[in-house]
Amino acid sequence: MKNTKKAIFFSIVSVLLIVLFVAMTQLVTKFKLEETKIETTRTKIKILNSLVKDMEDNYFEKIVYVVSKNAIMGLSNYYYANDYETIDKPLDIAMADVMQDGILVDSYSVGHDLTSSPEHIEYRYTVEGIIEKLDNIYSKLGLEINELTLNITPGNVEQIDPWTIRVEADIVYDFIDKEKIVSWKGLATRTVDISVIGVRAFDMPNSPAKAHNGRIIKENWIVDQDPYTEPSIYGKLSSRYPVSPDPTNGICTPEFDRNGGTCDVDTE
Amino acid sequence: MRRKKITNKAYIFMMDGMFAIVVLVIGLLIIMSTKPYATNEIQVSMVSENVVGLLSQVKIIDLCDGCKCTNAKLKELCQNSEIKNNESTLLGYFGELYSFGDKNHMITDLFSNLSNDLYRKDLYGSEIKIQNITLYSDSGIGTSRNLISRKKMVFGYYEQGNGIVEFWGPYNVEVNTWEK
Repeated sequence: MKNTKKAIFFSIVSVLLIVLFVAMTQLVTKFKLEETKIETTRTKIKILNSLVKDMEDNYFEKIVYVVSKNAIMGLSNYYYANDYETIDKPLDIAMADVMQDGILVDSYSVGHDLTSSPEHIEYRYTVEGIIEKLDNIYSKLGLEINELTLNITPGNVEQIDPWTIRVEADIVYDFIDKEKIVSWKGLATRTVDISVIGVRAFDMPNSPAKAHNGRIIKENWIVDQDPYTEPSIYGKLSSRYPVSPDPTNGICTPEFDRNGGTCDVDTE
Repeated sequence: MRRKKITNKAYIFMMDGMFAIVVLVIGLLIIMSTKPYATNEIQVSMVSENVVGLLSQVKIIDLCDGCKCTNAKLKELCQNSEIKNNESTLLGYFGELYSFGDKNHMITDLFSNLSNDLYRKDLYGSEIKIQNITLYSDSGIGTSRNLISRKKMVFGYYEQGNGIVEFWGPYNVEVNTWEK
């Protein structure tokens, strides 16, 4: 009887020890799982952080360049196709219009889609087009784009030399990871110098023939000389009416007649 | 005599209890000592960082003075007028070549050539994919236990003196590095 009691007592103690051990093991395993989960999330955030940093350090500037150049080239093509009669607002305002989605709003508030046929602006290199592509790439990496807008403050586009237009743009961004744990919000300002090569330009704004001369600017164009006849490319793309010559920023076609001092060349 | 017997039993129970506690503590220590596996401290991580760092930060102009390049393959490409924008990073240049559609072999050759100077091919391997297309891959990716994958996005443009302006991308680039 005594031995049986002892055996039952030992059994109970053993079972209690086993239960205790199992419970503690379960607890530790749960703790470990949580720790692994945290470590995985930490690694994931690290990767996304580097993606966003990469975007801020390298790609915002490229986005501003590509979108701005696409807009300037597209506007010059559109103006050329319409005999330059559609120039309705200064270049910086027109750029701000078309950069987002390719739609130019005229002074009657009518929108002209420059991305539709005939395509003057490549839609995939407008802000909306780039967002679509980025969204596609980033969603595979676990990042969602809530907002990405590019704003040009009027007056922040200027011709700095005959070959270059400087654009300053603000980028507002809001990215969030797919699990909605971390988000990245911010405002970045980027300044880019855009080459006018590839842009169409009419040569002689004071001449009635201007509308027919929309040659594409190439490397072999030459800087206007005294007596000056040419406005800057910024000036030309900002008004359908004659603009005063810009003594420091005008460029002429290669056939520039140095003796006659005119840039007027009407044929390609 | 009976009192001594009880004392002995108490000692045995106490020792038994202590032994059980020691076993439990050792067991718990063993379980707790297993840390989540993190690869960022190991060498392959540094190799991966080197490869991606070189590709995404070094510009062609840093490696070439005109067409005098420190890398033979880059020199060859430059002499064949295959470099349109020397301000581009190497990764950007890969993206530009990829945009042509028929120049992927140039990416393969150039990456193969560059990687020879970046890591020991007998110890490590690497692979580059653009838009999920494998353009270069060393052997051993299937058998490696340590692999680090890094992803980047590239896009850009090139302009030529004759007025041609082309935009390309964005493309996703994946660089995998592993220990053999």
